[in-house]
Amino acid sequence: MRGSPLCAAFAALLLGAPARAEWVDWVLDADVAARYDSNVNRASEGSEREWDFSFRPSARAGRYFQLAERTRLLAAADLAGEVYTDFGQLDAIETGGELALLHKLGVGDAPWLRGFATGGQRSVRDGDRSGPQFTVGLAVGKRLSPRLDVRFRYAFGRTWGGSTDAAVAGAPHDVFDQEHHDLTLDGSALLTDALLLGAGFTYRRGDFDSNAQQSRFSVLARNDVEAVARDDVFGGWVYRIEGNSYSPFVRLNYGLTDHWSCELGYRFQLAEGDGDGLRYRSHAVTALVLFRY
Amino acid sequence: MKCRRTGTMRSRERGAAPGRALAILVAGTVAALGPARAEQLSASVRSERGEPVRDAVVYALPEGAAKLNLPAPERVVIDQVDKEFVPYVTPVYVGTRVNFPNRDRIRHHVYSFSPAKTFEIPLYDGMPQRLVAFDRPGEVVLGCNIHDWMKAYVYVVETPYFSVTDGAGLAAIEAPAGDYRVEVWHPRLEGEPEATARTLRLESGAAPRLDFVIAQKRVWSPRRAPASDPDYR
Repeated sequence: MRGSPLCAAFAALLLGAPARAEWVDWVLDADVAARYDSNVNRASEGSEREWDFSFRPSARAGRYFQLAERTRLLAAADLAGEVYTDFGQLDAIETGGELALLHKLGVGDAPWLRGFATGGQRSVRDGDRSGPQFTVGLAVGKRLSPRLDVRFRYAFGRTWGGSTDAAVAGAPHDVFDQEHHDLTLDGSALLTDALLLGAGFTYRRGDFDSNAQQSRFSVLARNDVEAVARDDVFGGWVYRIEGNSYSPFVRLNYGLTDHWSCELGYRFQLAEGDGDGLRYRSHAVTALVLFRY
Repeated sequence: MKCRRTGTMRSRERGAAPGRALAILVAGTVAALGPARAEQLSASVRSERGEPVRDAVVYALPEGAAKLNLPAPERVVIDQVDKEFVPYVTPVYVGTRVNFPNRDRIRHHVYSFSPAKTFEIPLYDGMPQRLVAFDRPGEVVLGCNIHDWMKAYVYVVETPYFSVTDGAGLAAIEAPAGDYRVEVWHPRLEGEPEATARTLRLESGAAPRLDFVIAQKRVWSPRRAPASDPDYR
């Protein structure tokens, strides 16, 4: 199987013993999320928007390697599933992993740097949307006080889709082959000893896909539509567009114990193509239960 | 599990006066009397809302006595267990050396920036290579550079007579009879410990009790419970 040597190497990194195997900082995370998306098909026309609920369990297992006094390497494997209540063709399983290097620039509340790379496979019931994906990026953060911390993050992401059906003869139809650059600024503040408020903003430059039920041939004349294909999930057409996306978000997290918490989050997204007339809005509400070992 | 820490003092046998016979007489007299009897002083600490205050340090400073020249306890231990310091509050007599064994199966990096004691024990496992001497009175806040929710306090006092309140807000101190100024410190104490001072004459067999009510301020600490990352998809 393609990639199996890579998987084997990653497993060896995770499970291989250092000189003193007992000094291992294990990572074991498990999340369960329920999500409402007001525009799951990312339609620009209000009348064509579809909403749905999804359920997403996920787990991560890994370990930290202490490389130096203030430098750690994380190696982790991830597994997630996603199940939709209406659009079952979007049901998916994701497998992957992350390597991240974390360095603290001092002691106490000193700033930290985090370089990361994630990779994996997203297997969607609709094969057009299935394919490998990876992300690389850099984050910097600092604890401003026992109550406040802030982070800034850059990430480059690339996804590949499956073999889609052409909608227009001669036009590219690899709509799910996408790349993007994200900039995220977020912070969190303790409201009480157990209640944490987080808020932030993500700007994305790059590709996004949008569904439309009616013919939009006119948009092909604009250079921001890069590909168009038949949409087997929502019907009609799905376009790949290059543009900008703006997404503020807020979350409220309540610590149940040292290892468990529950969280409610809201994210708004506005995506606009570089040309004229293609934009979509969505509202997403997510409820989570989190466990960290 | 929180431990109640107490300090005691033993009387020092006097040196011999010139002359062998007098020296024997004095030594024999002192031996007959035995060490100074330890009397008990109990204390309760409550908040302004009437709730018992846990982890308050109650300490008795001898009044009118010369500066104590007693040897400090050789070693006090503050553990690291399950990524937490244990105990949360540790009072020590000035000059005490403290050991910070790491009983976790991961490394920690202990530090403090407090004026009373600034130090670092860089990344280590098991027993650190050296003890840390706390030789100035005052509050010392401990942290771990890897696990930023880890926090504990060392409170350095100029007396070996101290105790820490339990969950019921109660503490007991053993000290020789005499005059004392008794004070209270707590990580969330509003104001200075001197403002809580009460004077007391500790008499043989009396076993007095002092009741303290302290004002508390808000003290924030990073939370250990997990939160999600804003993973943009």
